[in-house]
Amino acid sequence: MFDIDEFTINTMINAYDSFKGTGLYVLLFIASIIFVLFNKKIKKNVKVVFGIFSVIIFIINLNPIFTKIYVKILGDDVYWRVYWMFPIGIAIAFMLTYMIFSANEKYRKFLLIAIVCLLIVVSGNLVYNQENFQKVNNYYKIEDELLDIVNYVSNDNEEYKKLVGPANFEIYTRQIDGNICLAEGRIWGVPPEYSIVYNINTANYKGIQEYAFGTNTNYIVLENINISPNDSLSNYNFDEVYKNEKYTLYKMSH
Amino acid sequence: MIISMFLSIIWLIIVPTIIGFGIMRVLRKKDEKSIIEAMLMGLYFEFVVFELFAIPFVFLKRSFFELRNTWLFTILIVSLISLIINRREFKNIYLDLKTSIKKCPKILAIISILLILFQCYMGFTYMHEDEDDSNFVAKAVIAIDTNTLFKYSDEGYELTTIPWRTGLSPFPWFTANIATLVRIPPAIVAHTIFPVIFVLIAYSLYFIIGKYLFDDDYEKTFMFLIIMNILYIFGNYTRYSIFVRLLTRLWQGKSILANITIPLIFYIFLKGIGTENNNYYWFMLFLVLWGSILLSSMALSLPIIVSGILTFLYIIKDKKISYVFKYLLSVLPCVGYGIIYLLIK
Repeated sequence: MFDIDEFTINTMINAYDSFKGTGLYVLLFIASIIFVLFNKKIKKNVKVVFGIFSVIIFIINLNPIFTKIYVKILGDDVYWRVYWMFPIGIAIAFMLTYMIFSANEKYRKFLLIAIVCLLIVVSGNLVYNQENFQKVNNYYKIEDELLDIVNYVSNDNEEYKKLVGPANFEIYTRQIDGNICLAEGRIWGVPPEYSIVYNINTANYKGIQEYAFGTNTNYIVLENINISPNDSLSNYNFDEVYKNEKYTLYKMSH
Repeated sequence: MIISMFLSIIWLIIVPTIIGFGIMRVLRKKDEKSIIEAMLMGLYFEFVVFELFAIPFVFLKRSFFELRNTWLFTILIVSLISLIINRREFKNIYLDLKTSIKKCPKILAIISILLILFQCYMGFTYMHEDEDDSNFVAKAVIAIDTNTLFKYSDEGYELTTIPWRTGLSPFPWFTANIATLVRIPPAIVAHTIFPVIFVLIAYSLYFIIGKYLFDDDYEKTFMFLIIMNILYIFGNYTRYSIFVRLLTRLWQGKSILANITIPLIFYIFLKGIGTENNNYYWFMLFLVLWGSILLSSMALSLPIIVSGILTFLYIIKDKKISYVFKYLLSVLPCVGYGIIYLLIK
């Protein structure tokens, strides 16, 4: 059980790399641990909770035997979450606040506040960027055009509803309406080249029709930019029933 | 939307606070009765009650609305009892709050509140896409639309087995529960309401942590809070950081675990374990550990490890072997659920 293989070592290292990121926050955190442990004025329980505890967690997380046991029970895909056990934000903020108020003169305090803010800004990265956040015009926080299509299907007068569309429909459709089934769910372990969802915009319409008939799917969504000018799903027993700026919805003909 | 937000504040902040004061009264908490501590205690009590009923209801094949109504009935009864037993205390609590507000340094308090409100605004207004929601949010929608518990998969097919890896932590159903109470779809609760409410709850917790660390010096506490705000806003140095999780995915139970549960355990040990009042704080730990199982299956490991190591260190620090038994009692529910998880996995 305790023989350590390469997979365990890689899991452990990858988890640390995920936690470390650019490295500067971690440096600040290590500095705060040292600060707390060696500053005589800090309360004993603060030394224990921020200092000694953090050192122990470092030792545990970077111990391949712990990694092996943890991964065996809970899986390797979540091992990196062990770094959530660190009081990283609280410890850094505690150290920096302490430093600011160690200055007696007001101007020194302001200078330290400015240095602290600059230090954090330089060490980190703004969370509010285009990669993390987009603007939409609905409270569901779902792409407006996608929501529009799903709402159409939701309000359509059919008892049985099963949909296939581009990959984001597999993620979001059932966040809006739990009565619409999906031909394919979120793709776990299926290579993209085999998934109709990832290939729906490039697959031929005959192939899509066969897929839909085979899975009893009665709604198909295609992205407008990928719709062929020379052919249409309407030729394959699916009627175009709704269209918005980004997507076209087809429904199986009766 | 404003009414729904107001109702969410009632169910996730005001009702928990009422319940928390009731628990404090029953446990005869001797030191100061913090509103924020009461709120956190009550919130995890809500989680515990939901978790307590959810898993048996799955085994008994009960419906979602039966679960919801059972939880609701229990919470309302406990809140009513708390209101009755504390009826003479609320005036004192209000006066304490007024005194505390007067002590706040205006400029630092305004800056930290503005930073927190900015984060709430961003969470309320902007979309963060996450594929995990095809599981988390979809489960909440399915629960309401089909009135079932683990009958259908995320894609809509009838399940033949229960997905126990996530099944012991049905936080999506809690989301659905809140959605029915505030009368908006679960996706809106998850993506628009929770990013506001849980950010407020997280920073309230950081406030009382700061207050403890700096011995009730409000100037230092608010400076601490401002720095916490900036650390979070610039915490995108890796997408795996807890900082990013707070601001982008706080409707997912695991993010609440990382940003509220674990810091709350730190608070419990900093503030309470080792003091005269420590039985109250051990009970708080018990509630927090049990309640966090609702949030994520990670609760069967991380909070137990955190509280276990801290207990060990405190045994050495305070030389009290009784902490072993108190810790074992606190983790009993986690051990129970952990055994179920291992047997069923």
